[in-house]
Amino acid sequence: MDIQLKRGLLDVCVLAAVKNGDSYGYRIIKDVEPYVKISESTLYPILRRLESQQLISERSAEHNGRLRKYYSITDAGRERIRAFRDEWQEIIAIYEFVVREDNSND
Amino acid sequence: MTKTEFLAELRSRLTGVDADYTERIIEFFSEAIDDRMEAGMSEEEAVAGMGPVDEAARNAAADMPPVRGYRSESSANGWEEKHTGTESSTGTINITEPFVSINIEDMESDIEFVPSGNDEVCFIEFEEKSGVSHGVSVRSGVLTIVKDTAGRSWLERLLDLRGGKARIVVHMPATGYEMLMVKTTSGDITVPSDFAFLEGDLYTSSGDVKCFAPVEIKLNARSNSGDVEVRNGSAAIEAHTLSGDVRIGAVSSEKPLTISSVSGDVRAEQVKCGALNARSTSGDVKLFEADCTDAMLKSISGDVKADRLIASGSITAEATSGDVELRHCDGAELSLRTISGDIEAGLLSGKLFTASSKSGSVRVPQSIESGECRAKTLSGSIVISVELG
Repeated sequence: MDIQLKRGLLDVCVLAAVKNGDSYGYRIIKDVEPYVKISESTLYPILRRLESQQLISERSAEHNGRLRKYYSITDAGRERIRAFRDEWQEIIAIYEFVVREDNSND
Repeated sequence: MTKTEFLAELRSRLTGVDADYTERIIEFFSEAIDDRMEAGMSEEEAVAGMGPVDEAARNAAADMPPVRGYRSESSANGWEEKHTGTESSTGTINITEPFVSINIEDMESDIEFVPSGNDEVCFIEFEEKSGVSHGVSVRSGVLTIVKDTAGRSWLERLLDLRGGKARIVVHMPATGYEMLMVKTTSGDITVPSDFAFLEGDLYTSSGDVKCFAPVEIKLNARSNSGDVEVRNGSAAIEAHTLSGDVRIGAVSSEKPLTISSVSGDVRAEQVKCGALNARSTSGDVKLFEADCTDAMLKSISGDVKADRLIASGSITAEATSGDVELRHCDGAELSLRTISGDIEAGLLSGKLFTASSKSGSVRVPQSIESGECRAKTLSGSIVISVELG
């Protein structure tokens, strides 16, 4: 899959993984992995990016005697998912246009 | 590899990354390994799950969050800041670090330079689209502005095709600088005469380039579909466009001037230079008040016209279907050629004339033994005169 495409989709997938409540690194990977290939080294920059855009927020909480970081979606993050749905409609329209162009050349 | 080894290796590869960020990255991976072990993996398996350590370091360091107002201790590291666009965003970044050269790489922004009105004041104004950011830094005397679209999804980029305009305005002291390098895809580049540079390299794909700042050594100004206009300076100039026009004026140097367009017109006026090379494929080539060593003027389907062109060496003026017209011009040796156009020339001194036309009329003055002028057309007419006084 195209790198840009994958990257754009990964952002939204990670948002989706935290939209129903707090989650942490490894669980996000397990939730997203069945759909898109993701590892810690790709997840880290995504979390930083989403956080810097204030689409997610981060907090540390104790877990089994150590600190673990939990991520949760913000209102802006929910807005981003809604925007993705709208954008997707446009992409589908573009896709249909492209496919139709293809057929007309046959 | 053990967890400790992995983290030590990771840390060693994060040199040059701010200490706080390094700690955050280490914490993240430390926690990720713990979580995998807690889920039942062995330490070895958990570490292997992180993937190659160099990849982890590269990814983590490449996408650090925006640095705002960060200033390092060492001046060699300089200073950097990032401006990120939000919805219809405008913003300003103040530059306090001195610089002598400028390097800007962008995609769609128009790029302008404006005198700040004060030798001490420098700031950059951004008008940009949502999710786009520009990293601004001053390092080793170079002001660098680089567009960063990491904050945009591919969807945003794709939908971006619908348009919208971005702008970068650099307000800086009206003085001399060393190097100016600007690259943009669809923006215009405007450099007013308030500044001076030793060298310039300006490129836009679909925008216009206007450089009125005197450049001393070398200037490269290019566009694919826009116009290129250069005035002032004493540089060796290369100005090219594919479908726009090229205009050069008020240049005074001993260095070469090379200008071309494919489908646009090429024009130079009030220029003094070394070898002058002006070409267009389907546009006109026009010179007015030019003083050079040798001049090579060529167009395929456009006209080649020169008024007050003086060459110490040769003038070659060639067209294919266009006309060749010289007024008040002179050179030691002239070669005027066209296939189906007319040749008309008014020279300042007599020459040894050789002129031929297959089907047109030929009128040339009496030859004298000084210099040479050859004129040739297939179907056009030739009229050459010597203007005395």
